[in-house]
Amino acid sequence: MSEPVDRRPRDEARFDAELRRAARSLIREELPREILDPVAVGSAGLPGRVTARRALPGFAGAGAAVVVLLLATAVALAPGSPHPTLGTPQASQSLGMKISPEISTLPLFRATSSILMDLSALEYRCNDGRVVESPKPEPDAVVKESAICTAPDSAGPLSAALIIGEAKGGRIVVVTIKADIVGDDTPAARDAVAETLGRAASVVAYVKDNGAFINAWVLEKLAGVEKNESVLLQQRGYSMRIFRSSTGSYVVTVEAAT
Amino acid sequence: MPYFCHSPRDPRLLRAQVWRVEAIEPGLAQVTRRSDVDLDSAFASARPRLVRIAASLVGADTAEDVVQDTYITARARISQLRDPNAIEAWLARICVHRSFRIKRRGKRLTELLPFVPFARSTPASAGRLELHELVEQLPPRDRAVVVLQHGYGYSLAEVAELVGISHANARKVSSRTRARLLKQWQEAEA
Repeated sequence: MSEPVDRRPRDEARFDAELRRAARSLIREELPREILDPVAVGSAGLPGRVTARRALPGFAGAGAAVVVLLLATAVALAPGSPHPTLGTPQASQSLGMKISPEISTLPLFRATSSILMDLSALEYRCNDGRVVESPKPEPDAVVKESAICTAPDSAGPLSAALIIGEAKGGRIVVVTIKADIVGDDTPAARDAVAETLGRAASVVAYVKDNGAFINAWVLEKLAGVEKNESVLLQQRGYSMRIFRSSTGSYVVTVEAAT
Repeated sequence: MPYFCHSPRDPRLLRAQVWRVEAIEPGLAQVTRRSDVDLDSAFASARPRLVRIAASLVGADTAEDVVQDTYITARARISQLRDPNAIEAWLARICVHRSFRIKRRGKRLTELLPFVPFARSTPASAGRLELHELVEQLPPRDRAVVVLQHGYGYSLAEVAELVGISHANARKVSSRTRARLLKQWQEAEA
């Protein structure tokens, strides 16, 4: 006679999946993307927000300012520091965007459900993805491709798919977007790919301004990437890569910068 | 103020609001009055969306109360709006916050008026309940956390930020509610 099997963890995993489905079914409206953006909305000045209390906020603020100033001076004067003009990221310079230090502490990616809702509005068709059978041992390894979304026909002479890669705990660690030109490889077709992939990539960013930045970078760079060539940019906490394979397929990946 | 006329549930709220406006310094009052005009039109266009957000979080029957609460809070805090272009997101943020807080007033009323029977938002059916029905029957506070975390996919830290509580408190509400739902679900499955 076999031992009784402990079904509890499997039951709980099924329960969590059911709970996600049940909670999603109650959603009548998506929340605006900027809802947690401290630049646009802040805390909305709401009462009941939990903040750390400081005995002498004025002194603490002044002290923090002095520390930051000293630290910045030390870094700037240290041997081996990058030259200010060389250290300025070219992409952000050419795109004329500002980098807000306040938003750097925010997550990089939005929740999968929010991304799917936006992609759905762009007429993408999404399925439930799949579990990665042999995930890598690293903590940030993708264990599940939580959704695979294909671009609509109206996107142009191309086929494109966006794949959301989640690590353990459902945290998004990488978003991959692939595209192939259908028909002739013309500048117009490349532009259509750039536009489609840029827009899809912009949806995944937690902060709307970062989404616009990613979109602008893809639009600017993709059409100029030749076969077997890749372009990499690390900016705003993201590591973004555009790669074109020998067969002409485009792959855009967005993940956390290392 | 058309939104008070729409559903004048509690005249004390109206008086409190008038008091707030009068209490503002004269210099700021001018700015606030100008902003109020923008707030009214922004609120009018955002209102259907806010009702749907509140309905998602706390149910359709409480959503109107939440949205009215949102308007009152927004009026009182319009001077703290940072980016006028983000007013809809700002209103949504307040709406989420008020959704979480709406239970308090209900609870206080229940305590004050124990003889008044309060109807359940969803009548419990005699047969087996689906999980979404169990979630619907949760108190608004717990339901809001469940929908934000499991439906919208926000992390607990983000949920805590949205509803204005500590991370530890959010974790407590979340785990307690999940445990309760799991137990009910397992009993229903058995």
